Amino acid sequence: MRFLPISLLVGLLLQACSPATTKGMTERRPARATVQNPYFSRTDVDYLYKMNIQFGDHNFGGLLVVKKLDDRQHRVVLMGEMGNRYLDLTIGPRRTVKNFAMAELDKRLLIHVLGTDFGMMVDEEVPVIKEFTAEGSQVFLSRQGEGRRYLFFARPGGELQRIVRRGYGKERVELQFTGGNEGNASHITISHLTQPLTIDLDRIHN
Amino acid sequence: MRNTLITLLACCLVQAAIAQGTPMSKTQGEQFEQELLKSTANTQTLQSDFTQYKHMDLLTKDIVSSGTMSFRSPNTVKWAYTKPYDYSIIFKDGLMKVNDAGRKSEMDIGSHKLLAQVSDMMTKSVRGDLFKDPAFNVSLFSGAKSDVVVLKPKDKVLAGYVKQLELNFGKEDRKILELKIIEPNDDHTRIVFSGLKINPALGDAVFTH
Repeated sequence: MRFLPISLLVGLLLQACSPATTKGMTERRPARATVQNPYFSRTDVDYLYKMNIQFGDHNFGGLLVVKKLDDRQHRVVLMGEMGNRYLDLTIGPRRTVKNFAMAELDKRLLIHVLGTDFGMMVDEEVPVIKEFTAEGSQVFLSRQGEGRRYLFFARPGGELQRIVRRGYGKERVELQFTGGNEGNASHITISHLTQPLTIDLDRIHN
Repeated sequence: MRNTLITLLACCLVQAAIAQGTPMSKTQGEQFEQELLKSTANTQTLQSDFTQYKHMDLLTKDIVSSGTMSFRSPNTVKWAYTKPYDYSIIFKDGLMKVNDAGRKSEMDIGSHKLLAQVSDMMTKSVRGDLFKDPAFNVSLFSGAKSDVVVLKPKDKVLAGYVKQLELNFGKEDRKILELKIIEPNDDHTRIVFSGLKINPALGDAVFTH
């Protein structure tokens, strides 16, 4: 009997400490070791998007090309509508390699931020350490560097709807996928929740 | 085996030469320049549809877009893309004005050196003074259906973005047919013009977003 209040207290404390990202959700033992992001998973598809980057009052448009090179790497190219390359990255599980950057964009921090964002967007097989369920969604937790990554799948449909990256106790970045059919996302929004940076991507069928 | 390789290599070299044409002699070059100047002497405005093919070795097929290009003397150019998206860019009075599906912005041309140079090349090709640009090494080639002006940037910074520009002109009328921008890694953008109109009425509204 003495243990009941203590158990309740511990339970309440744990609930209070659980991050807002999964608040109110039920944690359960993960039924699988990895989950799949299907949106950039085919090597025979050229993924082409119209891109708009909003940073504070600045607006920057262009095209985004994503090509899966092999099971571990994607090439991500940002370019102008007239075909001029802005930035060309090869993104792997552990590092981003810069193939080309125009002088104005050749900044280490910028390449790191975009490499991390696009890496999270294209990463196909994500290892799972925890699983949560709530009405209408199933959430998988994965480690990402010093932070954590949450992948939200619709239930029962199973489509990947959003990815949230947390770091230092806060939600930092959120990716939302909409209009996905047959593994294609027609619209993707990457929102930085602690910085005024948003990237909108609309699929172009070439 | 060795002979096969040599033959293959020779075929590739011949193919490359045919693609660009044979180099013009000095006399041919001077005649071409005169003809180009003559054909463009009275051009005040110009409008043409275009189809753009962005080739990247990475991709399974070229990215295709299309729209209308408008020019007004001395140096105002508008590229309006209508497929597969609405986007237009105006080079006017040292400024670059962009309308990206309703999102409008304006910036100094200086920060977009490559686009400014490409636009400048278009202007100069229409004015006929393409050959006098000190920023490029110019060479001329004569092909079966068109004559080609090849411009290689002298400036190292610009050469980091573009290996060469190729402008194709019709053999008979000397009208511009095609513009190709080749990057240092050999990916390229090819813009093919069609339905070219010389001196159409182009008011200020055309060059305003």
